[in-house]
Amino acid sequence: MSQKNNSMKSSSFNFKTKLLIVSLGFIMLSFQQENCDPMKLKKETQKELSPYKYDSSKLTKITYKNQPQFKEVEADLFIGEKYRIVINTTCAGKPIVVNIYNKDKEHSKRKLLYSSTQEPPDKKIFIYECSWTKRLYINYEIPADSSNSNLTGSILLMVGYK
Amino acid sequence: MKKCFLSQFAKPIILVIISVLFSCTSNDADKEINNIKDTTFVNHSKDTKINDETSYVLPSPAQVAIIYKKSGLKYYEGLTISTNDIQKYANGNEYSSTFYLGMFTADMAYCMLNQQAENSKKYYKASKILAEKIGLIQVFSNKSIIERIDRNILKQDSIITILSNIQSDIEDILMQEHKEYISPIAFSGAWIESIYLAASVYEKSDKKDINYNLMFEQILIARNLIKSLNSIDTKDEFLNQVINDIQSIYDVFFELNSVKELVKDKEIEDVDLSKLSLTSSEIKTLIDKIKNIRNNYVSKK
Repeated sequence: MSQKNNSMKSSSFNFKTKLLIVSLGFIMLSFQQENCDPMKLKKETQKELSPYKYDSSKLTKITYKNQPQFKEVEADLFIGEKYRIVINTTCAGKPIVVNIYNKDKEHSKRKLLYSSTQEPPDKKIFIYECSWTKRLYINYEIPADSSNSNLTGSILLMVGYK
Repeated sequence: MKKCFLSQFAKPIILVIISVLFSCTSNDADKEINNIKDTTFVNHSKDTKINDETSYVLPSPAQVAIIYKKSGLKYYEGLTISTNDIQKYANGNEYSSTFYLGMFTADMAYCMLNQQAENSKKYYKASKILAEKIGLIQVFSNKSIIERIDRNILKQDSIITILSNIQSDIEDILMQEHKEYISPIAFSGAWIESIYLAASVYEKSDKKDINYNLMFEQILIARNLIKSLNSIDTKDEFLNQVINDIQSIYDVFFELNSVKELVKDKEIEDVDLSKLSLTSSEIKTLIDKIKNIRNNYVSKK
């Protein structure tokens, strides 16, 4: 009888623990999603733009696949103007590699101007400043996700000028 | 006994309620992210990674106006669109109203940066009528903006901040309303109006000391502007006309002999535009084209 009671208590404990873990998971997920509201993401990113004036932004959505993906954003600029580019990958879902080039991916002579691989691994907001260029090519290298969990995310790119 | 009840029943129930509540929040947030219209288009390339896409970030109409002002663009009365006829520009569909909103905000920026307080307010109010048509009225309903224009009209840096804030507010609303796809349409209106203003000021100024290289740079932006407009999933006649008109200005520029000599195969990445010197007849060809297209939009309704 006592053994049965212990077994029931243990089963109840396991159930509660599982429920707690699931709940915590939901809470953490919802907290992340809450912060990944595009408006909040924009406001957070805008803080990194100062003292540059806000010009424009681009939200890129990601749906992870079981193969790596590659996305490119072309930013038109005016020669001689000072720009700050802020790329916020906080809501990307997984670590993303950001590379900035002077020419598009078809160009054989394109030069790498910036790579997030030079930054500390825990950094999620990347900043690049430039002038004297007509156009920048910002690449996102998105890793594969084989968990079949339909993982999604988003990256916000913001341009500021002086 | 009470404690026992709590531990056995209430806690799991509370946990389930929390889970359900929070899982609903996450679904909503997910839905919000998924609902955002993506204006990217698929660019098939040789890259081996899948789902290869390219999207575009265009400068804001405010920045275009600010750069022209920095280069010495003077104010001339009568160049901007008459605000008396604003209603006729608001009669079209979402695309045309957005396009005209772009034109009017370009005029507003031109007036604000040239210390024209009364005209600036007129264009702000006119923009509000167009913004109402496309669900952006909140941006132009802020009475403090009018007060700030009055208070800061002589302070260039404050005016630039106001313009930058308006741009950010417009994008916020577009994001909230899932209407980001109309952003390049508004920019196309601003693109035509601001290049028209630059061309007209160049024509009117005796010294011809305006940095017209900026006009060339603005024309180059047309390449990605056209790609952004083409990515909008519509067969709207007005929008097609806008795309054709911007393309024709772009083509006229690249057909000029001086441009052909300097730029090979429209490859502009390595070209030093300061080396580009157009003949007076080439400038006239370009300016006539720009003025003709812009005036068609202002007079055809």
